Amino acid sequence: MQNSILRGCFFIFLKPNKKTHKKLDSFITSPENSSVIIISINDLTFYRFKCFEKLCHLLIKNIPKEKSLPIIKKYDKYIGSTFPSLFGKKAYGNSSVGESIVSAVVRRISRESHHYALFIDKAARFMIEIIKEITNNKRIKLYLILNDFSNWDRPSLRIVNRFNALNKNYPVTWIAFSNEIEYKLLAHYPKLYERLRFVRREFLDRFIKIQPKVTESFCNLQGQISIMEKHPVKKPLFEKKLAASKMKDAAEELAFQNYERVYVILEPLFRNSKIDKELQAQVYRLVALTDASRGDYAQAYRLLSIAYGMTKLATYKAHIKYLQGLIQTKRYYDLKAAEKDYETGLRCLGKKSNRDRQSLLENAWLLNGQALVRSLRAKNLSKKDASKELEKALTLEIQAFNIAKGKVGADFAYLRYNLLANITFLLEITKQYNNAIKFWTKSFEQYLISKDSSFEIAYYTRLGLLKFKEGLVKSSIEELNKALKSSVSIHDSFYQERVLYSIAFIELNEKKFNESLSHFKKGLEITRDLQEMSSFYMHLCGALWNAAYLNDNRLFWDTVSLGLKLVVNEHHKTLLNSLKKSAKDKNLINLLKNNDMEIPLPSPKLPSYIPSIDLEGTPSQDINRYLLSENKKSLG
Amino acid sequence: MSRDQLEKELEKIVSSIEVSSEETEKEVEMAKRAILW
Repeated sequence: MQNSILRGCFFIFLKPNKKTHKKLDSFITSPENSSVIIISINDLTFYRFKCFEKLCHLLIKNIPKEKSLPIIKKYDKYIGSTFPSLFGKKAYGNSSVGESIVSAVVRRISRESHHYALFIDKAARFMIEIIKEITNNKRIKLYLILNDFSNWDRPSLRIVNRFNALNKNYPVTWIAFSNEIEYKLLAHYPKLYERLRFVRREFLDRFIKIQPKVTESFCNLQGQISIMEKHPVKKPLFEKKLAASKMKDAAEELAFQNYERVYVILEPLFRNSKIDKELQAQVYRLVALTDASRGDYAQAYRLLSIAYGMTKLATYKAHIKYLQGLIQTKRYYDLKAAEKDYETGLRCLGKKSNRDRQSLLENAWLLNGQALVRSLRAKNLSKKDASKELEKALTLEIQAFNIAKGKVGADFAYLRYNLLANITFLLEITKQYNNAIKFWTKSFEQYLISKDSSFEIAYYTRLGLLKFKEGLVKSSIEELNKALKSSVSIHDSFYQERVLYSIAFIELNEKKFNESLSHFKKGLEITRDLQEMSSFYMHLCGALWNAAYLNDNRLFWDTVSLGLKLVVNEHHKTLLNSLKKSAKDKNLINLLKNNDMEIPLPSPKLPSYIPSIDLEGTPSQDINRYLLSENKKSLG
Repeated sequence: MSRDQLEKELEKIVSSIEVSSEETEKEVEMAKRAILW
């Protein structure tokens, strides 16, 4: 057992007892060459990144300043503002970004994690560099002991997971003690206790499953445990003051997928009969959105129904119906039920002539929802009927835009941009590529003036792929190269590799084999560094087709070997192995065709979440891809 | 809706989009979220 404590091992001690510690001591085989750091988290506040920050403070103490300062300087621009105490900075105030997140997050049932996947990646790399120094470049073994593992906030655990995925060199062993959440900390909130217990178990199970060499349940080991002493809870868990501002805080935590914190913030307001019913209905809505983000759609739908029953406001009822319609459309693929929800929502708003600002906002969102239902329904109709259905969808989007036109406020602005993007998408679905290009450009090019690199990536990628469909190949590659340049300028490797894939795909299609090969190779390098293995496989397939077209046997088989060494997905491994078995077929193109090695079309949109980093689930269908595909099969 | 009518509607939409310079940062943030999310 002692020998099994290796780099990256993650030991989870469930229900630790006093017998564990001596055994733990015996694991540390050469104390003179070991460093042990213990971190305890004594509360259940789940503040975002709190545990990671605490861990980093402890780690940094273990290395001299002349070693830590250059690392801090290097990572300051990426993660410094989130950890002011670690990086010696002043804390940040609120920004307009916060407002835009809140406006957006309450209109969605799915998450957006790309914006902080980059952050998590950089934080993990920061930790690797610190640990490189602590381990004196592999000479010292580091044992990180996480007490109260079940109290760790989800964003910090995502960094730990990322660290383990990236750290290939330094000897670190994680030993975590995972108790069930203590009831006494939440005695006044029995429902929250139940909810957190369930949600924690769900997430930690997922987390543990993907850690390298996990050993669980060491509780029967002999020995004494001194590091597990319990600390008293120092401060009350919740503030007494109940304020609407909590809703904003909770929405911001939801945008960071820090679900436990959302529940903790909202619990004092949730089911509290002393609270105003309207505020309570809003709380139910946010808890429902959190449940939907976690993938618990049945619970989300149920809570939304409760919120619907609680509120007396017609506009809020309409909003709830919009969210329920979204769940029916995008998660249950039940178009009839969705249509019913949207119609109920519209009925709640009453006569068209009497609509105030809020009613108009909800009205437009409901029309947008109906447009999506029609677009999906068109997939199963004859060509003629589908065309009529898509035209109705487009008319609904235009109607919605006309309602939202000229209205002031973040809520209307977010709606308008959604509608503009959706209209472009409908033009693309109906193969009106030239109109889509013109519309996209006129709608969004004005914001290029802001020189916001992440906006440029999204804008040019979409434009480049539309131009490719219109047959404007040269211009398409030019647009995508602009997106590539912007992604490099902000070190956004996640989008950089997606853009590279699109460029390489187009070049391969155009038989520009040398150019496409060079881009697929760069994509392989980046996805390998990111440990994004499903994207790695896409670049690998591209490189294989490239080698086949060039009839370069050596390159082909070297690429197969690289794939077999690195891919983790069993299906991908099987495909590569079957290629190897058919090696006697000297025609490489036939070999790929006969073994179903396809290169997928680039997605019309950049991904909004990175599952390998946020560790949350993915819907069973990508609706965007489905809508653009020739696939006639129903969703679900 | 004919192609011509559609193009006119689309033209009306894009000509209605205006942003005041003070709002640019916020608007870009909104636009970014709408096209990425």
